[in-house]
Amino acid sequence: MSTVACLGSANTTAWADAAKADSADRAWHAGVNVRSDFGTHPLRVTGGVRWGRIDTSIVVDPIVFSDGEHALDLAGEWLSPKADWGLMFGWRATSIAISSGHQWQQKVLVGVSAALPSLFGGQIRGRLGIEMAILMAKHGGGLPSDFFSLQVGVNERFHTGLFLRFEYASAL
Amino acid sequence: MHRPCSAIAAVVVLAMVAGCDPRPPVLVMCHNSNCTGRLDPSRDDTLDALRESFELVDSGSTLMFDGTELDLVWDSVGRRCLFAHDPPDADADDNTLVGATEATDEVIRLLTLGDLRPHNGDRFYVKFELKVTVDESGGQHTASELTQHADCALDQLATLEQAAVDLGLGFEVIFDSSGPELLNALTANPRWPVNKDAEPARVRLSADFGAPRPLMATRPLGDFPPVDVIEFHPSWLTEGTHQTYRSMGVDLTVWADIVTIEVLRAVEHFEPKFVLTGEVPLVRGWLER
Repeated sequence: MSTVACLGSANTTAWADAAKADSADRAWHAGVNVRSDFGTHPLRVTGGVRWGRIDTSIVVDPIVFSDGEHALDLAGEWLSPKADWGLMFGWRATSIAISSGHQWQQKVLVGVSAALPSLFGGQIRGRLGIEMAILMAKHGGGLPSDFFSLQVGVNERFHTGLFLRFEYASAL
Repeated sequence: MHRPCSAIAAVVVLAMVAGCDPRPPVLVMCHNSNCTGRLDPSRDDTLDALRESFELVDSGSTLMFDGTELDLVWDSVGRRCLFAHDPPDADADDNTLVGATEATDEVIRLLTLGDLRPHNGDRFYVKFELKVTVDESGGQHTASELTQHADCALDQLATLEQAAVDLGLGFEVIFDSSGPELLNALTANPRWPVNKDAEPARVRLSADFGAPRPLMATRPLGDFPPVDVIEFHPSWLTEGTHQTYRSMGVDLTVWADIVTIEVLRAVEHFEPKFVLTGEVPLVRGWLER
């Protein structure tokens, strides 16, 4: 849908819808997810749909083409009535290219987010969030698998990160 | 009308174009002589794990790693120098304890037996971490024990110097500790080499940092004698501290038991000389993809 929104012909109705999307019961959104920690590449592409107070999103990683590392997020957020705040939960599957294939690192995501002031007259909305990514499993690439354990490297399994999301949104 | 989306698209394209694949030229070290990737800390600093780790070969006789870590504990109860991660329990079976010399000899035996060469092809790195506790209750060294522990470490250096000649292989021996008193005891010892660069076994001094206070009893860098290497876990290093280390001109060691994407990206960012890990096959595979 982001392709349609970005490359399609001018559609003033769609942009007007964007400003109303925050208050709409149902809306789609697409944009970028940026961060400064080492958990993913600094910039990824996100898209999703909001149904009432539940917002779902998928985040993909275009920088995979540069180094073979990809982090795919599937996340949901439970939003406060005005969407000022949200509780986030999700799953991150990270794929790391190695000489013998790919190792996968699976993480649970939990976090909170807050709405930022809108940009471009409400067409672009932002959210700031903090998340904790908890390593649950490592597997693949012909290497030994590892599963969550309190016996091994507990502090190395928990990683926190701050993220910013900028999205175009439009009512469905 | 298209400006917001165009801006987003431009940022994405810029990030993709700017992206690169900066695998740094690091040396890979075997953490606690237990680095096959099967994460089992109960096997740290055991001869069995050491032997299995030395089976990690790329091809022929080239090891996947460039060196190994041997932890040295001064056991105040038994008054002996052990190859171990922690001081033995009071009820430990003496037959299961391994002396420091036995571990050093085993490294030499494994290198000799398989005609093994480090991955860099040039020099094998042995890092002795001198542990700061001397009994199971966490007791610290007395002055006499500091001297004995340093003597034990320098005994290992003498053994490796001879092995370097016998094997025709360069060594670098790194003495590392989180306790500055132990490094001071080493450099104050009359056997401490005058010329640390003398071949065939160069010597280096390393300060070891864990989690910051109050999580751990980490000592400030100012308490340590001048060091050549600083070891840290990437989760605990701020960018300011990293820049301070850089300005000092020291080499860096990143250590990690569990190698996550966060650790690999930290290696790209910090560009250490060494990566000390329990997952050598993963790190080697990542470096060589």
